[in-house]
Amino acid sequence: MEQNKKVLDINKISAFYGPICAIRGVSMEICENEIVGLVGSNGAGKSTLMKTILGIMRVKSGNITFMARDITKTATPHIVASGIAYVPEGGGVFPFMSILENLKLGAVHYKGSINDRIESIFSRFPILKERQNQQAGTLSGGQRQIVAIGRALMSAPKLLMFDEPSLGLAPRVVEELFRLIIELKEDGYTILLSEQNARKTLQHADRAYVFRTGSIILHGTGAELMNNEVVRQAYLGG
Amino acid sequence: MEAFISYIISGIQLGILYGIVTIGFNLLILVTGVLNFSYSHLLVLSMYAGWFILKATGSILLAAAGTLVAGIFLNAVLTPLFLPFIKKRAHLEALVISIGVALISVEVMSHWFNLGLPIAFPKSIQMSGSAIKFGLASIGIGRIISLISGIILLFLFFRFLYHSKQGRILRAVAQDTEVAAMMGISIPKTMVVSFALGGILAGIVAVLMAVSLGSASPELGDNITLMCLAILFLAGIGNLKGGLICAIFVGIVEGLVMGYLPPDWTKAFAFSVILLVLLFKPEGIFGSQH
Repeated sequence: MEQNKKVLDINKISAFYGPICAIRGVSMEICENEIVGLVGSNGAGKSTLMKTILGIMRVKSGNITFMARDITKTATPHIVASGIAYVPEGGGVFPFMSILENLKLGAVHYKGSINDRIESIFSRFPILKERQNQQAGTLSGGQRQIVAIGRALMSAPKLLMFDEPSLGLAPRVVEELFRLIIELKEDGYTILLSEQNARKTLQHADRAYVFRTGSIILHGTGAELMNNEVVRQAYLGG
Repeated sequence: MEAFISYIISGIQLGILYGIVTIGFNLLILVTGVLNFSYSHLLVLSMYAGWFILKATGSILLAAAGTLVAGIFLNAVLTPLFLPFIKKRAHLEALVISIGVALISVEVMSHWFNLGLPIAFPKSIQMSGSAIKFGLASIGIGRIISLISGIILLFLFFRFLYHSKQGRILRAVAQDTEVAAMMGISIPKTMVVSFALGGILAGIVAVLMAVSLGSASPELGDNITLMCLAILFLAGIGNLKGGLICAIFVGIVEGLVMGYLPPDWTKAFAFSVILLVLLFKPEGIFGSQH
């Protein structure tokens, strides 16, 4: 972490689902070209945090700064346009559209040449080029993740957020997925990675935050957390 | 044989109009989740607007333009009425509101406009004088114009929906609103677009109905809504292309019944066919894919 340029800075935010406090007083930061992990069990608030960053969920208190601009009250389309891309849980591909159309929908706010972006995505994922006219709903879980990642890359984002990308995938596919995430970091992307697979996440993340019932209970480098007694007991199976 | 062909052509023409209206219903269901019961009532109101303009100015062109504008305007006015319900996902409440709008518009038409009598467009705009004759049968030029314009409109609509950025955005919101929002698509803006598009379709169909049917009455809206909802269920809710195919099929059935049986039987016959199909395929013939 030679360069410490902050990409995202979250300062004591809270968010509610109706009367239920889903996130309470969460602070975190993501620096350029980092992989930051979010670890925690199902329902701990990881997805909610990502939806709050995207502006889908309203922030009750605190503020979020992205690329030195306050986006706490900004509408989702503007947040996406400013450079945050999201890979939803399960991929979230549009099932009745071709792969090509799915990719194009990742570039709704992209200002440059969409065809150039598509070419660069195709050269990274040749399988998408081969199957560009296939309906996304007919793909396997792993292939859907690839489409969703390609779609997120279409906007040339400054921050790439993954929501439980390994959920429901075979171990071999999970390996490939994590290799791909590391490749993306090597290419200069900044990544926020939410995962239930704590072991793999902590192995690969530069830093990670541990979530429980809507708050951060621990944070540190991946290696530090791997050796932390609480994390080992609760998330790595002792 | 000539008569049979002319009934089929009339049926296809009617079916295409049903098809476009069904697409209007489906579009709103897909994008906003709301079944706008009053959609065809507003279409009939637009026909009334055109009739008034025609009576006042005598200009067919002005009347056609006025009908189109009325279709867009009436649908646009409804948007702010529905949006709060859509935001709360109160789709049944929105349906009740739209039934209310339909009832009000029927009452207004039957008390205030033309003493509640059906309106008749002058024969000149149907061009029934210059019908295409073959053998003993004939088809009014108005029907032919309506048929051809309907096909062109459908072609343009599907081109827009499947080959333009805005069309792709509409389909994305229809398939998965939540993910579409996460891709940075503005959902309220897309909903307004779907209302506007529905309005354009309604306006054009209103013009084509004036040209092909030649008349309108306060009950016409109910009849069209009933027919199109049945077609919608027959095809599978939200299936645009399936809805179009079913609409043409129902139109042909109606055209043939109108030709060979007393006209009061048309609706009963068409609905019997629909009921029979739904008995065996309750999810609709084509299912609800886009």
